[in-house]
Amino acid sequence: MASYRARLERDLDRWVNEGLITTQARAAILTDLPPERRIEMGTALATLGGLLAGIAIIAFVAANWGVIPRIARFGLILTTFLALAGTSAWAAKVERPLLSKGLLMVAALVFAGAIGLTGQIFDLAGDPQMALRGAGLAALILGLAGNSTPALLTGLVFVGLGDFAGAGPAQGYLPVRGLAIAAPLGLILAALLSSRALAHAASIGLIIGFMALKSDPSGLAVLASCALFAVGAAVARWRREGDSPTASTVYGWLVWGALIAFGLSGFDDHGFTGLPHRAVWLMISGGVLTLGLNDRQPLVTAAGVVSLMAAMAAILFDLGVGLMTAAGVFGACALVALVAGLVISRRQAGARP
Amino acid sequence: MNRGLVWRILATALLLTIALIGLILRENRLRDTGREAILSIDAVDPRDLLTGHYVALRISEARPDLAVCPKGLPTAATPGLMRLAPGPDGRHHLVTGPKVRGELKVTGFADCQDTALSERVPAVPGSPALAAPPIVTLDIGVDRYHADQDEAEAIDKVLRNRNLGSAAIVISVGPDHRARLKGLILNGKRTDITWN
Repeated sequence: MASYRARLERDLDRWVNEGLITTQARAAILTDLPPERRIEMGTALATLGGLLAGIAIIAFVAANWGVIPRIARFGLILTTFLALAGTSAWAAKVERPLLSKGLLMVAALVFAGAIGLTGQIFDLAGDPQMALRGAGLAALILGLAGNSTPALLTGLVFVGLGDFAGAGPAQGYLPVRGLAIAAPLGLILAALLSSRALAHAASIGLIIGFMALKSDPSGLAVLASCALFAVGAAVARWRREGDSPTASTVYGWLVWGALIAFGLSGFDDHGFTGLPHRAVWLMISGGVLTLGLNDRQPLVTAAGVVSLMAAMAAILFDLGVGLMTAAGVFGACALVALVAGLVISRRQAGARP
Repeated sequence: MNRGLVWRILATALLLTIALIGLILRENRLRDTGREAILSIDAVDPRDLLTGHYVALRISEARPDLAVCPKGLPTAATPGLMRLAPGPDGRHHLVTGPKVRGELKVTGFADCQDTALSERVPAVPGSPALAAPPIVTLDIGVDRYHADQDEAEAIDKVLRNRNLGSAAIVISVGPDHRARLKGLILNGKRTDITWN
């Protein structure tokens, strides 16, 4: 895929040929562009060398792990963690933000390993859920301290893993799933740091956290979570218009959350089974699909398409061989979609000057 | 250059290191000061490729002194406090009923299996009815003893073949009623967990 600069150069050449802009304007626009970020050959080789040296050290230590005294093993792990954090601080000092943030993520992973290895070295009886949550909390703190999106992502992943470690609905020392707390925090941080990657992870975490909040939720609870996601999506859509860089991502994922929750409310013992649920599901999916196309939001459009397919599959499954009824339901929905499309087209045509 | 960022990263790393060291010191102190109990163990599949060499410990024993499994024991779904008391063999055993001298309380759960034959199985004429004592298994959060490969394999060998010797673990129960592994007794030889 061509870079932004290459695509812009192509467009500028075309505009110059068509007489839309002058060659001076072309040159001024290109000068205003920030330089393209390239990884130098020397940097790439140095990184590769560093990685290989790291692997060699790890293999050497692993081969002699059994003969190293316990206290020395512990010291080794802590030294590795502190060295990584120190190098990250140095990278921040010399204004290499990418290196600094990446190293903080590695430091967070090493700290997670340190928690596990410490338990092993000193034979500490531990709770896997607490260990994972502890690793997640440490990664989140490191990420916050160093404005590191990769470390924050690592933290969210560990908290999420901790939620599902151990026995069933047990929530350990927290009254709720860890993700239900960490994901909203992640969304706030994503907005503050303008990090789309974090917004993706936190939004997915929010959906998983809310869905798993109760081990056996009632239909009303599932519908309530659907309504919450829908309200959240509406707020994010509104914020998107205010030029918030992460609002589009959150908007897309919260639409996914709302549709997943609505779909789930029509299964098992949730009390909303049957054709009325499926018909509403179809309508909502179609509406979301249209909204996604209108807002030019691929994530929302994809949610609408997938939801539409799921709703149709559910109808066919419900009806078994009742194809005539299925034809009736799909026909009625198609009619509603056509009428709605016609009304919207006429309104837009009337609004045009 | 953002000096605040540099100091924030360093301070956080230091804080996390202190927290980890503090956790170990606290656990070590509680292990040293807790009340000691010795429990019989059984062999289960050892070693895990991802977590290194260890001996998987199952605190399990046949209880000929119990006619049937005691009722109301904590379960995996609802863990709780269990009572352990020293027996004449010098090891601690699960007790229920009236208070026993020297007993201590530990958090976890128990599984008791009655292994007697069904009443529908007729006894062989002229012989006493076949019966086996209940098997009591405790889960108190101590389920592995990490060791290097040779040591782990040697311990596992003894656990699998009781003719080679006997095995038990030494635990320490602190005021928080949590069990902490303190050592291992193999063929009468005790090995305590140390910093070395």
